[in-house]
Amino acid sequence: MSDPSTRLEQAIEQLGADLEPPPGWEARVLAAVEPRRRSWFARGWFAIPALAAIVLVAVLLPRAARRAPERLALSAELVAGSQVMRGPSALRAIARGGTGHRAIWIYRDGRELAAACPGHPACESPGDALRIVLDPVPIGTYQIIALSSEAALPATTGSPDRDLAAAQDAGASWKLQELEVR
Amino acid sequence: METVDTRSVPACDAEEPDAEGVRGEDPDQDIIALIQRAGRAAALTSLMRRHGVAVYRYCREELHDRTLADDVHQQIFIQAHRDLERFAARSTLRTWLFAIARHRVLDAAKSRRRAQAHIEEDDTADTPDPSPPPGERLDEARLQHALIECLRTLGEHVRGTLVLRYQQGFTFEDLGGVFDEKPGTLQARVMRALPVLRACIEARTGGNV
Repeated sequence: MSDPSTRLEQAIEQLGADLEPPPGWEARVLAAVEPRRRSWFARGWFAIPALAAIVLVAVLLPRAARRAPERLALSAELVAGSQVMRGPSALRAIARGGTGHRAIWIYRDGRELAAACPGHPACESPGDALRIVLDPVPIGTYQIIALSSEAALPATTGSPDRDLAAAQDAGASWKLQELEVR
Repeated sequence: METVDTRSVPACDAEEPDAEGVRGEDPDQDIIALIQRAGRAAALTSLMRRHGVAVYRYCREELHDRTLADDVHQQIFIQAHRDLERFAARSTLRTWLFAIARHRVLDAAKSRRRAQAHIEEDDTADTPDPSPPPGERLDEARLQHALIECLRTLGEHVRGTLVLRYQQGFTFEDLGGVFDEKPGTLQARVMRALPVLRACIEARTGGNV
């Protein structure tokens, strides 16, 4: 039998031993630290001469040089779906750029894989993009992750936290967005 | 008993505990290397994976409000991401992270007091009968319940020191980096607090620890 002080210390050690953070918390933090795109207005007038310079360089550069790998980009939004409903009822995600193996993984409430593209019937590859439209999309908070990797991407497990960590370990680059469907 | 290094630990600010330097290798050296090699987002992912649960337990124990703890927990890692590039390795990464956690927890507790928000009781559905026959040794459930109640009666600094010392296993030296105080002062605080805690538990329950 332990002495009272040791027992007290052990009891403090055991405080909250069974507590776990809520599912999907890592994905939510990563979504929060993703750099936000600023509007054209916010970028200011200095963007115009910069754009002119970019166009000039693009015209002058040889075609081969312009085929440099594009950075991975993700665009996810709620759009009008096929159902007659007030407000958006479908979720559309488009991944562009990146190299090698690409995928879009969509999770609901941080604990359930809603769709993995490629593999999902609604997944398409128009041009160099990867696109998926979930229609209709149930109420929930969705974490949408676009991935690109030279090596094969790991299989999804249903947990965005675990899957993102595994993808990162495999050397994948990724973009993450969170959308709330009410 | 733990040997305490009574050398003075220089003062630290809120964001970067300023100890004399990390003694020995930081166990999170791989994460620190990731900051340079793969960027802050990659380092953040590893940091969350390694310390996320421990920081969460600390937040829940300090705030006793699941919703608030969830929010503060995420804010801690968002701030860690913002400040990772400024991490100067004057303490271990874990100490640095818990210093952020402590400040965010104190801020949240202060805001809550100001707003006089309702404090949710954690997991009280299976509250044990707190009154065993007088003098009887408390069982684990009664001890845990009374411990939670009595920890709340302690001051924030005392409670925080006890939780980080025993729940998170910090040495007094590392605690110096989190609290910006000398290890000896923190050890004395803990040694004074334990009998107070014990007396509180025994007075509330009538049993013995």
